[in-house]
Amino acid sequence: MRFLMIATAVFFLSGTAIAKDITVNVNGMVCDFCAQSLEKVFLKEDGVQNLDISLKNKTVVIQLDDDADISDEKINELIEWAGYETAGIIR
Amino acid sequence: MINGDGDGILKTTMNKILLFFLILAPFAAEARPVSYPGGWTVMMQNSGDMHSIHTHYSPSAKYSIGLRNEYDRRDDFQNHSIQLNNLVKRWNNPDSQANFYLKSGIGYAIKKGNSDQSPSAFTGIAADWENRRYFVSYENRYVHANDITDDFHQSGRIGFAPYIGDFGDLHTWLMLQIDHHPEANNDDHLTVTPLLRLFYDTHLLETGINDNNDVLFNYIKRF
Repeated sequence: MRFLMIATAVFFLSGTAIAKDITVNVNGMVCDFCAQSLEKVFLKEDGVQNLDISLKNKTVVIQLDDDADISDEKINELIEWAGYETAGIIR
Repeated sequence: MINGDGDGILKTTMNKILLFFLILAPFAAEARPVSYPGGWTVMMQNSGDMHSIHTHYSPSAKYSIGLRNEYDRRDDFQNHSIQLNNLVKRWNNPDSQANFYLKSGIGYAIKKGNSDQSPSAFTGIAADWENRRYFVSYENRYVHANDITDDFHQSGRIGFAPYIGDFGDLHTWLMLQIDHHPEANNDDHLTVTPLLRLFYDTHLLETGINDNNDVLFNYIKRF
């Protein structure tokens, strides 16, 4: 019985997405409209769970699903599409 | 009320302030006319000169297209236009951002009481620079509609944030706007408007009162 419960828990946890984070330094992000632009663009991407934006630190933390990935080129492309500029990507 | 020498001193001071704007802010917009890709924006502006509502859609972060409906209180006419806003250049810096826009439109102007109607066109530039503490902007607009109007207007702003909020906070700005209407009468030629800007989530609200006691009230909502 105990084995069955553990096996069930492992089964469900393995199907649960665990976020992994990528931190992006962004130039030109000075106001909430800027931050909202980045949110709108990134949250349309498959695999992007959430965005944590800090105007103070000038960073966007991209939280991805466990099985998702996003290349640096794609990040640059999305930042530029939103109207801003990537200053660095930390994985 | 200021008369005689006082009036002269005031005008000289205001001219100096205008010159300051024109020199300091040659690349300096009262509100960004382009949103994020796929974004809709409604901009309502009310002042002693004009009431306007501008609704636009941004296919990309480089340009937006929309409708502008305005009532010019000075020349007493309505102007309904299709407006195109182009972000010509953006400078993204680590701690600041600057923008240069071209804003143009074509439409139809109607004098009050339908006494005169005419095709209309306008064009102008807008520029701004801001970091999280300071803001500077400049914009101008030339409007022509045959016998109804032939008007040039320019304005500049400086702004200061008394505190610096982060994403999601209420942002507060204290600003000073100077409007220059070369063709206006002496009282309206140059006006100064201290104003308060409140910015929260997707809402931006501005209110102030100028030295002719005209109330300014602007509201912008992004979708």
